[in-house]
Amino acid sequence: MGCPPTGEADAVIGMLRQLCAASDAGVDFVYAALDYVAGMYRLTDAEVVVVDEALGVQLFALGRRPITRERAVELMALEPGFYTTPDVVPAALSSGIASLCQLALALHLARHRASHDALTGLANRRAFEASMATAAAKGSRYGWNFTVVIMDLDGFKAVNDTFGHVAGDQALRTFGQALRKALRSGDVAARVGGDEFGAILNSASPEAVDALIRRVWEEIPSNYPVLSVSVGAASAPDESVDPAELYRLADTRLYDQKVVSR
Amino acid sequence: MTAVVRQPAMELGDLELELRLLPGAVGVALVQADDGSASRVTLLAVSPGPSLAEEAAQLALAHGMEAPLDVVDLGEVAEVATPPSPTRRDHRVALVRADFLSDTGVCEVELSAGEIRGVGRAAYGPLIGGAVATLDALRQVGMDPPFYLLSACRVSVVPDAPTVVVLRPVAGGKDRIGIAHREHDVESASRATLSAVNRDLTR
Repeated sequence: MGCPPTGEADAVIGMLRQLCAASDAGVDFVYAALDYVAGMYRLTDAEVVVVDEALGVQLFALGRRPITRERAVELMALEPGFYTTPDVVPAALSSGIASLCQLALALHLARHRASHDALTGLANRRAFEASMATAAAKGSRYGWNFTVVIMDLDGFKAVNDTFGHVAGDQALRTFGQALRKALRSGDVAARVGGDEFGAILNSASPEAVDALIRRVWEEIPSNYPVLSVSVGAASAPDESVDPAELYRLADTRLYDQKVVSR
Repeated sequence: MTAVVRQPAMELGDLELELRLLPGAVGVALVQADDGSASRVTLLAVSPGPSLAEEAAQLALAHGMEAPLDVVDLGEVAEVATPPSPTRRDHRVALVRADFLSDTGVCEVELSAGEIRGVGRAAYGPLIGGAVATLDALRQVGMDPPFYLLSACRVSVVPDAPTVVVLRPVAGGKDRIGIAHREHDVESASRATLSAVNRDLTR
C-alpha cells in the first residue's frame, strides 16, 4: 500500500485532533489513535513512540500488545512518531500523531495529578468531595445507599517524631495501599488530610465498615509502625443525603472515638 | 460485602499511566480478559532498579489487579542502540533560569551550552515572552533554531494544566509542538520551547 495523498493525512490529523480535544481519555486516546490509523491503512502492526517531559520516552503498540525487547530497542532509537512494518505512513502523519499522543498524555498526567495525592496515589480531598457528590446524586436518583468513612491514624505524629518523616511517609503509603486493596471495585479511597483517609462504600450499610477495617489490617505488614486507626462513618440516605453533612457526621464520630480512646 | 475486586476498563488507563511513571519504564502491555480487566501485564524498562518489579506489582495490586506481571529489562541493549554522540553531549542545552521582570515587563531566559551562556529577552507576557526569549537565548549560545513562534498557551481544560508551545518552521513544513508543566509560566513556556526544538538541536 502506498502513501496516501497529503490531504488525506491532514484529514486524519484533523479528525484525531478533534478526538483528542473532545476526549479525556489520555492513555486510551493513544490506543484509539493507533487503532484508527491501523484500521484506515489495514495494518496489523503499528507502534507509536512518544517523548514526554515527565514520562520520558514511551512506546505503545496496537491493541496494548507486548513489544519484544529487540523491537523496543529499535523503537527507542527513533524519533517520536507512528511506525509500521512495512513503513506506509507519511512522515507528516507520523509526527502529527506522535504530537497529539504527547498532548493526550500530558493532559492525562495533569488530570491525574490534579485529582490524586502524590504520596499515596489515592484520590485527594477535592476528588473525594466530587465522588461524594456523585454518590449522593446517584443515590437520590436510583435510591442507592452509601456510607462515607473517615479514618485517622492514631499516633502518627509519634511515628514522625520517633522514626523520621521518611518512615512517616512510608506508613501513609502502606496504609493507603492497604485501604485501596481492601475496597471493592467502584468504592473510593482517598487521602483527605495529613494522616486522615476517606472511603466511600457504595451500596453498603454502616455494618460494612467493621469488615472494611478488618480487611485493611489484614493487608498491612506486621512491621507497620502505626498501631491503630480511629474511624467515623455516616450513611446515606438514612442520616443525610447532603455530602457535606455526611462528611461532618463521620468526622465528628471519628473525633469522638479518638477522645474516648485517649 | 464481597472482597472480589476487579478494575473497570476505564481505570486501566490510569493504571497504565502510573506504571509508565515508574523510573525507567518505557512501555506497558496489558492483556485484557473478556470482562475488560487485565489478565497479564508486561513492563518494558531501561535499566530497571531492583525494586521496580515490586513497585509495579504494588501499583497493580492497589488497582485490584492480581494478574501476573513481567518486567523486561532493555538495559544494556538500549544503551548500545542509542549512544550519546560527542556533538550531542558538547552542545547539550540547559535552562539556567527563566524570569519575568515585573518592573520592566520583560521576560529573561538564560541558557547554557557547554561553557557558553546566553540570555534572551522579550517584552511580552510570561507565556509568549518565555517562548520568544528562549528562541533568542538559543541564538545567543550559537544555535539558530529555524522556527518562529506560532502560539504559546496554557491548556485550560484541567486545573494546573500544562503549557503548549507551537513553533512553525521558517522554511515551511509541519509545526513542532512542545509541552511542559512547571509552576511558573515563563519556565513552562521556556521548557516547552526547548522541547519543541529539541530534535533539531541534537542533529
